[in-house]
Amino acid sequence: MKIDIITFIILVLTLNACNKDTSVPVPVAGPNSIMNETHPLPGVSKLLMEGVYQVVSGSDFFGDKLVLKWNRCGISLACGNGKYFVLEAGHLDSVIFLQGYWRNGYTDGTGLASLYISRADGGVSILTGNSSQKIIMRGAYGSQSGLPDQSLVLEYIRPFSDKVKNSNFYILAHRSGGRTSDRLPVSENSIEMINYTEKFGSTGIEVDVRITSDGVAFLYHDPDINVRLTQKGALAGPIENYTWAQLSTFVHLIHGEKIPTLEDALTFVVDSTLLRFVYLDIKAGTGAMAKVIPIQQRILERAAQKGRDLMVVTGIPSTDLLNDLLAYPDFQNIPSLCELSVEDVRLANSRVWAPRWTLGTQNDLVMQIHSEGRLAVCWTIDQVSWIREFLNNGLFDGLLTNYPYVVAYYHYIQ
Amino acid sequence: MVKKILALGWLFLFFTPALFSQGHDTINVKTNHYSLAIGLGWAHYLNTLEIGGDAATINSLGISMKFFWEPEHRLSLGLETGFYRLYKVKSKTYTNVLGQATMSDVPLLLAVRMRVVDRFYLSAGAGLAVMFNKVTGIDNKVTSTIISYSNYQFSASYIYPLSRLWQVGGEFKFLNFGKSEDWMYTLQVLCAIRF
Repeated sequence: MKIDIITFIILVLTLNACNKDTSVPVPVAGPNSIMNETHPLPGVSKLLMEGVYQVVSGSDFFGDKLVLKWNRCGISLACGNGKYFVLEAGHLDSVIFLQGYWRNGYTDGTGLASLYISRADGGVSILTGNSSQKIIMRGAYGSQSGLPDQSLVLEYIRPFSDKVKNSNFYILAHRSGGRTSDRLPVSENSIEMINYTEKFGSTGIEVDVRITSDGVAFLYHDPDINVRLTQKGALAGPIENYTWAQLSTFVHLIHGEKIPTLEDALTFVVDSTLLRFVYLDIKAGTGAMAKVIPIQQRILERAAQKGRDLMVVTGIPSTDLLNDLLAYPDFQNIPSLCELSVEDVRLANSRVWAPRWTLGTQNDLVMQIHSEGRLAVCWTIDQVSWIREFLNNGLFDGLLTNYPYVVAYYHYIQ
Repeated sequence: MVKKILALGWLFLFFTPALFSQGHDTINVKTNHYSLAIGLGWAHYLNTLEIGGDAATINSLGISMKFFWEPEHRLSLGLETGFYRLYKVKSKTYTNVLGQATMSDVPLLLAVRMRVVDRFYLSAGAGLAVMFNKVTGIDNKVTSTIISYSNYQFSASYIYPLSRLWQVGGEFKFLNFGKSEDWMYTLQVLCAIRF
């Protein structure tokens, strides 16, 4: 009998042994962080810091080189092996401090990171807008929530190449900026993720659009309400069965955020981010265009009024939705992104052609598309080796990925 | 250590048949090989709701029905179903409209039951469940039907024979519904007929 009980307990424990943690905790420096006393850097200083850095100490962990790029929220430091840093920076007198965390996007590895640029190592020249002095960042990184104890030294090699500076390449992040399954601190397809994704180096996003039973367009990927994407709540089943009032009352995303309407999400993009590209990946069926396109048009008008360089394109992932668009009045003037053939791109007069990455670089077709004044982006490419291949040998104007920091590294290091 | 394990093993083998042996001879007694049982009682949802959990009604009346093939063996094989309301959650919209969402499950499980000592049974089962999710009060009523493919139950029951035909008893059961990662337990009175 005792053996039966033990077997039963082992069985129950085994059945419940799955990892339920939905995110890797973001390490946070203590309340006495030096960043509390620093001042923001002027724009010219930020530009001087951007570029390619040699990893003098810590290269066995982060690789030989890093790419530093400022974003709306702070600094992104991208490595070629899937690791990245999310840092804030400020100066105190002539010393520049950078503090935040590193994360391995492909695993759960993370830790605190702390760097500084002393007066002698470039602090003065950065702050005075003078590029003559060599920049060296010294500091350390840690593991998990432990204090930084591993040496990290970065030495500035060069600014971004003219090719990079003159390109209009889009680093497009999947599911509004990142997937919930990658254990990020905010939920996919949320306004919070749209606010976060620039820290990964993203310059554009893809969002998944569904329609409620009463016709409200909202962001959500899966066809059903499930515990993978939402906090456990009282609703279940196909998410498009419910009205907007029902969804917004009973469903929260996995990290507690409200499911956003498409209009709220796009308004946030225009008003509060520097993102330049939004791909509306429509998951709903026929009839969705009539709900999505008016919102797209309102948002584009809003962006134009604010002088924003923003492209918002309605996705055409299937022939059903292509026909849905073709039935829309004046469809030729609706900015769209077609995932189908080049002929379909011409039929819909899509601004963007978006083939899947498994079809290869398709340079001949991409050149044809370019010659017609259209753009070509590729989805959804995640492996380091393929990202490198597509950036080195492809002609795409952007790559959609779950790991924007990897695309950022191989793009900016060109 | 090995000797101890061997000694314990021999003791277990020695005592087990005596402990579990039948109390009376059944030779020449006509036996019934099938049973149909109906259960009714308290069902309690183990509240793991992150949204609306504090406003959830988690106790309800559950019913179950079981059909078992009972050969002259310690093990029985059967099918089990039932109806359980897991929870009812009330919540207000931002416009102060009161809505209500309920989740009910109908499991369809293949069950194995073992008589461990006289009149005392342990059972385990696995199979499908049909889940019914209903929202009322906010906009139109919406009912979603979801199939959950990975569900199981563990139960312990005491069954007392009133006659060769009728039995009564009680059952304590844990149920898991895999799709929604829900657990509940029930305490039911059973009434069974053997034929």
